[in-house]
Amino acid sequence: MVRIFLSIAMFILVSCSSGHEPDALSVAVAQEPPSADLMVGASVSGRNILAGNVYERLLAYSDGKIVPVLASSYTLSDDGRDLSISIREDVLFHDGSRFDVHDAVLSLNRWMDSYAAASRAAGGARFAEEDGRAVIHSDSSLALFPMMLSSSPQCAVMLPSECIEDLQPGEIISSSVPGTGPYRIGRWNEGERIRLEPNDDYRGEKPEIGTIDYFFVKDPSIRRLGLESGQYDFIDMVLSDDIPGLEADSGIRLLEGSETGSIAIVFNKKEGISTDQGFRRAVALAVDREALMRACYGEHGYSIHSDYMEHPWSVDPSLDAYGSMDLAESARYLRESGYSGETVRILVSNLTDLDKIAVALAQSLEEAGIRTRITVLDWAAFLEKRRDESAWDIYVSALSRVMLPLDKLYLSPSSPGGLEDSECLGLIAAVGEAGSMEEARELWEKAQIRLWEYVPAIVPGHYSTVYASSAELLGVDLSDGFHFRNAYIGNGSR
Amino acid sequence: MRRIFARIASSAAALIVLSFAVFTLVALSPGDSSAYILPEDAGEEAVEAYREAQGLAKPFGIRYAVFLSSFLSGRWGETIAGSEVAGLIASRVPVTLSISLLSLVMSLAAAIVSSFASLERKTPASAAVTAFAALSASVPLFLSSMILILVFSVLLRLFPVAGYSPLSQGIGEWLGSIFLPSLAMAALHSSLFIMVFRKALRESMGSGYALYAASYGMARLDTAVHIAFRPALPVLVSVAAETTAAMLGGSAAIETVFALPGLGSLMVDAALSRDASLAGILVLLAAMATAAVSIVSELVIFLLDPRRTEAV
Repeated sequence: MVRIFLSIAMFILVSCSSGHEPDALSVAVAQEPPSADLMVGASVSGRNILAGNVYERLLAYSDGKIVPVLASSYTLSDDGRDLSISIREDVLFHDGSRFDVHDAVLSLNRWMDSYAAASRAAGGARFAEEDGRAVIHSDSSLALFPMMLSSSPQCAVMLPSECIEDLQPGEIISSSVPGTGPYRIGRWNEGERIRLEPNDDYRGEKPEIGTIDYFFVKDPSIRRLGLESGQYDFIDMVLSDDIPGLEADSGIRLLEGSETGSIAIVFNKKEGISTDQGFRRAVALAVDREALMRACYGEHGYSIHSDYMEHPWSVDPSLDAYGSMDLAESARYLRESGYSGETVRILVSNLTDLDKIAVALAQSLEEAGIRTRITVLDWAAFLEKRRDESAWDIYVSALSRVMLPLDKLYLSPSSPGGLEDSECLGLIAAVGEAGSMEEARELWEKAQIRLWEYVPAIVPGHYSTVYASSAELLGVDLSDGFHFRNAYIGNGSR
Repeated sequence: MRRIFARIASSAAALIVLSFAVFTLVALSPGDSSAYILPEDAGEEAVEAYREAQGLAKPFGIRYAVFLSSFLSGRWGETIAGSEVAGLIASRVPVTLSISLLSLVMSLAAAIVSSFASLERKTPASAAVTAFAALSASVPLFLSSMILILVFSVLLRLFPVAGYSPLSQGIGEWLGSIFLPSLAMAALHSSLFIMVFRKALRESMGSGYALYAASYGMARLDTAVHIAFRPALPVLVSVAAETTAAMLGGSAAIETVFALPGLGSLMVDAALSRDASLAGILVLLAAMATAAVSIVSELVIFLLDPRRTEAV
């Protein structure tokens, strides 16, 4: 009996010690994309896994420049109101069909229907086919449109026209829809993994990494242990507490991405005590920003500055008069405000430890003499509750990096707790109307300074995701999320 | 037989009530699946279009009726992410079933071996088995899982840390992927098996037929194996049935720790993403499996001891 048991045990042990293919990659990620529809959804996980790999845009943002991908070129008229895009002729979808301007026009228009910022920027205009090119004519400036096309969180990816034509209103794209990228979706086992397999017919240089398996592993400890055991080659969202241990492991490389988003404490400017600008300034001066960020991220993976935007829109944060803690000034503003001891209702979701920030915020406010009550909900319930502007005074959220100020949720008048200051709104609108990126940046600086005065929201800091990989995995692109397009397995020399 | 039919009929009624309760809870929870599919700043128009396309705009009663009729007809539709529900569940069943059955086998083996090894009271073996049972019952599943992963996966590199390999990839890989989760589950459940079965075995050893055998000079272990074992089995079958039902319906924790794509984690995801239809189908299936396990266990108990007609 014992012999039989030992034989079975040995058989299991021998069988499961096999490794994976040398050019294959095993990646553990915290979140699964909610769907394959990158035009409609704005999930970071969807962009990391599918954008660029499976589905491609016409233009991409790389090293501070807009470069063509599926476009061969684009031209913007001198007045910035006409944009014309030429399409590459050597592009095939994964099903072998040829990508053409008709696919591009339908894809771009579906993207604009889904992406409110693009629709607003174009003033209701849509793309059309003209002389074999995708062209849009607008009454407003389209100077920022190439930037949107290249880097918006809702991706302007190219899909076959027949797939778009078959969609009912509100219907989303399924993972069976072919893309044009260097990888195709081999399989998507919901809740387990997405396997990307090489697209042998890809037009350009093929990636060195063949198959990539993205496993959905919610528990950060398991991701770490999987990396340490060699089961995974790359993991995302490393916990701060795990960093010292991983740093000490010579077989593991820690990687810090660029700033991928910011924490936002957003005031309700439509109802309740937060409508008072003095109260908002009192809160801004009472907040211990370091404590808030540390509560969520520990010792690593964030920076403290009150910029609303990340690079390349940064504005000198020393210009923010309410950007650092000053309890005496806070008390003065609180006295001058209409605050009379009522409970300030803080709304937060339990997503990615945001509730810890809410607790630290409440502590800061209580110490400043402001009574608080926190409501923690799951994401769906949080969004529903946030729509009811009589139910909260402050909400805490994390906003992933956007390439244009127009994309910042809390800078829209229709967003929950909406921004209603005409000066702020005028400056933000002017950014969208700018004739060039340089002009847009200058206008944004003015808008940011005015926003710091008005305090529609407080940004205590920006987070940057920490990743870890096996030491042999090199060439991972961390400029916007993580991508393995140029990655390879090696010992440091290529 | 009449009692079995009556049991099936009462189970069916309970299933309908249960499905209604779960569908109601998920469907009427604040928020809906648009929160997961659409971007945070989606306008009311986009949200309404999505709700219309997904049938979420219909009145609750109609939604439930559609759900129930589609469940009964076997046309289970798609998840909010667009996967076919029937196919998704079919891919998840083997995972939960594998770890449940293997941990059941482990628990039974632990109960039988340790009960025979600690038949005598107030012996070191008895104390050791009692201590093991107390320890395994008190260590949280998460902690025992972590310890197993650290030892067997990270230090010894014998098993994968997480994930599931289907049987089609080879029996060794399949067993390797379910071994640690099953062991962690078995460690948790085996204490009940051990304490209940050992008590039943000891009582059986004290019965007239066992004493009669012993008086004829039969060795104590032989008496336990050949005489006392079978009368003690019904209680073990009963505990095994209850535990199996609990494993099938409540495997979410172990599946989350080991990143296993089973039914438990699917149920959690369905509830969080407000997929009321998927959640309702899963609860109905879990309840049907529980009822089936219960009926089978009572049949087995009846076969083991036909005098127990009251059980059936």
